[in-house]
Amino acid sequence: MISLPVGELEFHVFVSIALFAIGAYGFLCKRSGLIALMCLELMLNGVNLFLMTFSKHHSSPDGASLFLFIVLVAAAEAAIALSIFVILSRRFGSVVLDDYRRLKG
Amino acid sequence: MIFEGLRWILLAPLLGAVLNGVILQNKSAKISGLVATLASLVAFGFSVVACSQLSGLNSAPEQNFLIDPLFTWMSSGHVYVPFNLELTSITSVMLLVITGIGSLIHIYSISYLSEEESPWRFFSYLNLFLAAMLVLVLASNLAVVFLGWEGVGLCSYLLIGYWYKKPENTAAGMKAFITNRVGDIGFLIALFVAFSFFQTGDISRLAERVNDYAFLSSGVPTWAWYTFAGSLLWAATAKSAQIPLYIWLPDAMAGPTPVSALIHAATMVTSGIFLICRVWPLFAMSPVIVDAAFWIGMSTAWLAALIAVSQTDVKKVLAYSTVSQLGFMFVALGAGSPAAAFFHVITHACFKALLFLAAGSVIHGMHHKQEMSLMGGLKDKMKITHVCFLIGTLAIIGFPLTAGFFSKDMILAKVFAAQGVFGYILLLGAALLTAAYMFRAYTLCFWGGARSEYAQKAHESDPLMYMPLVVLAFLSLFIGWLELPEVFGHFTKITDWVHSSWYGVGVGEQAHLSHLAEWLLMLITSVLSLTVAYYSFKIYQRNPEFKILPEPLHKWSTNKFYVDEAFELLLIKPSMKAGRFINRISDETTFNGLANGSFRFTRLSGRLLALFHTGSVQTYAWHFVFWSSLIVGAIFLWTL
Amino acid sequence: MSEGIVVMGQVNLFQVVVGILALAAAIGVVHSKSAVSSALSLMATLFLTAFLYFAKGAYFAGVVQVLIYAGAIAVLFVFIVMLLDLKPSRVAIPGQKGVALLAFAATAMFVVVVALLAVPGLFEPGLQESNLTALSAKAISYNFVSTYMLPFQATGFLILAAIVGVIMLAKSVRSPSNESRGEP
Repeated sequence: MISLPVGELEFHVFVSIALFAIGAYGFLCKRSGLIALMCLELMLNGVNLFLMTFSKHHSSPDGASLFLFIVLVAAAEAAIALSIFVILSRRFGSVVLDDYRRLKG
Repeated sequence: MIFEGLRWILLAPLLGAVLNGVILQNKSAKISGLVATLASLVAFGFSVVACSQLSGLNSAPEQNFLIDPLFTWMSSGHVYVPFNLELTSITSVMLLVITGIGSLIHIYSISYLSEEESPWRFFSYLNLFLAAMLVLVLASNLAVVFLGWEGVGLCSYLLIGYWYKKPENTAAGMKAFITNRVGDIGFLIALFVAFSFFQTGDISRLAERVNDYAFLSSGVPTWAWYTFAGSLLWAATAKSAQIPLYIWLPDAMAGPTPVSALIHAATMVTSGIFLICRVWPLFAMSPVIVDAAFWIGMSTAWLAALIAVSQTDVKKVLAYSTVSQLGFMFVALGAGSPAAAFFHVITHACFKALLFLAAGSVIHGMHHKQEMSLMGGLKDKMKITHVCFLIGTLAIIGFPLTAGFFSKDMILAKVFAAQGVFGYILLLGAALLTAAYMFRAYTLCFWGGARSEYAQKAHESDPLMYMPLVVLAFLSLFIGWLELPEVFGHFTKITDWVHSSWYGVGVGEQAHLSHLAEWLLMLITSVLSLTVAYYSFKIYQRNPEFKILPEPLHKWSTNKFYVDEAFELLLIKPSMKAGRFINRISDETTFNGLANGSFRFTRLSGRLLALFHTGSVQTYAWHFVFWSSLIVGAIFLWTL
Repeated sequence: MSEGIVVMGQVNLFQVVVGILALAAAIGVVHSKSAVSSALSLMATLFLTAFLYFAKGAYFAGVVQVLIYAGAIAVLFVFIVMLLDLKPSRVAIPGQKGVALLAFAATAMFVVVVALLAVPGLFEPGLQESNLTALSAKAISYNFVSTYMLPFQATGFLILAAIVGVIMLAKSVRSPSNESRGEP
């Protein structure tokens, strides 16, 4: 396999930060709640890559354990959030986050 | 010796109180009264059994008591308070008085309260009082005594305010309660001294401290003894209505008359004297305090007697007479003779309960009119009550061979022996005043013509009410034979009992009088008392308006020497003012300011933060990302 | 080179290709016109990240990523997007005031952070020979029941709560008290 003059660690950190940043950008700017959620998953994915990278770097299972926790929490979060969006879209007729402003009470 | 029957003496009235107060609410006087009387009688039965057990003991003096260990009340560091009941010989006499006279008064109350709206409340309180009083006398530890001490105060308050719809009755109840709280401070200080300096609250161990040379030489400061005795005396002046804290007792007559008989004459008000008798070996360590008790008692005996001669309300006369007689008991303590004091406690319980119940019978017959100016000529209409009241009067003034004769004679003799002629003459003066005002009350009630239509229509009370009177009359005649003067033969039950309840701690022998002196004192006292009584009787038959005291003393006396007014002016008003001042600067300014300020701050910050509350999720997300990246970036740059 | 031991070193071409593809798919998530293609792009990103794990030698993590993330969560997204049948016009990004400025600030920060990666000695040196057994299922599960016992149990409760919550939410949609649904 051809090696490139870039460290594996640095490259993976770059990818994870980029994933996180793209996710954050999408979460902040997309108006559709569903896509915002997907961007949230992207952010989590970036963090996961970061954790795994350093887990390998330090040869410690701690990062991998945290990775698993995040996966589990993300699964729970996705299930709840998606079902909330199903209800919200039935009640408001849209999944646009700005339409939900009157929920502030 | 362990005797587990003691707990039932306590539990029976407690159970009665719970039954009446919680389960059998709103029952008639007959049912509630029956329950309460049964509870009281059960306690009396157990008391008799316990006393016979005690008299069967033939052990050494330091073992001469029954004990019933119940449970550990508190245990913390070297403070260890077991909840034990303990029967010593002095307690056993007190026990019989409380449950015996208590039962009679319960029976009497069934009839007395037959027309009340909520007699169950009364009987519940009365049972509760019995339980608290029994805790007070049976407790083996000063802390447990304090429990009973507070309990009787509470029940006294509740019963004085029994007719709570009249504001002056509730005010009288509060006065009694607050005055007693002032005295309770003394009890608490005595408790603290006992636990911190004597390292125990147990009465038997406290008594042993007096003879414990290792302990005495371990450097307990002298002032600890003085503080202990002095604060106990202070506590006793409140509970036993002595100067300066006697003011609550006359007002306490607002309660129903059986309450006045049981609580404010026979039992609760004597608990201060009882307590000092129990811890006498410690109390006697401070001669100054003993002298103070003498002078407090003497001045109270005089002051109360001087007020009693001009009172027009029959219950008020009896109330001041009680204060005066309690003063006699303090004088006996001050003369170094707890036995004489305790003897007078017992006889006084009998004849004063009799007098109060007889007065209650009169009041009942008069449709709750208590003014003696409305009475007169009742001796034919209420024959049994009349005879009983007469016996009570004779007993209290010391008619030869009645109960009061022996106990008062014993006090006078002890005072003569301890304080000399001067003290004797002073006390004799108070005793003569007793004869004057008691015969005044007796004559105004029962002799002469009827002075109102109530008196004309008065009728004898029913047997339920006069049977207890008869029993008490017998006791008033004969209970004095428990302790005879030296000249009558050597029969000194009371002295033996009192001395044997100090766990073998001996107290020095008192000075003895020669037989001639005893005869002479007895003769002088009796002759003078009877003469005063006779003249009082004669004068008040002819002139019910006669004033014993010359002006302006009479005016002062009717106004109770302005003691209440002085208290009002010197203590109550300044403390009310101070209270209002503190309320203004602390509550209204500081705390209200703080409370309002925090509310304003919260409201303002809420309004400011509400500006960020747009309802748009992504705005929140922006804030989150912006501020957290600022913080994280700052930390990153800092560590770089 | 014994088994399970790899030398930390340069990145190889496969990893670079996969990483860049993953980033491209992530941009696809953000920039698709329709929600369905966003969801499919998400799935692609997750798969590609899983390949990165495999390339690192973290096989267990990669399997979990494929099974749970790509297999369950992303499919759930696709399913929900289909269910709601969103119109593309409602999903498009309208111009938002200040977004451009903030996007610029974020990009600038991103560039700064990436530039920092080039600083030599930024990371503490790792082990010269990385022990891949630390990333094995055995090591992770051992860690789970020892060091992370409490979070592990707490996560169990969280998932239970999520199950209950989802059931409650699903029930409330069908309950008759929900007559007013569809109101704006």
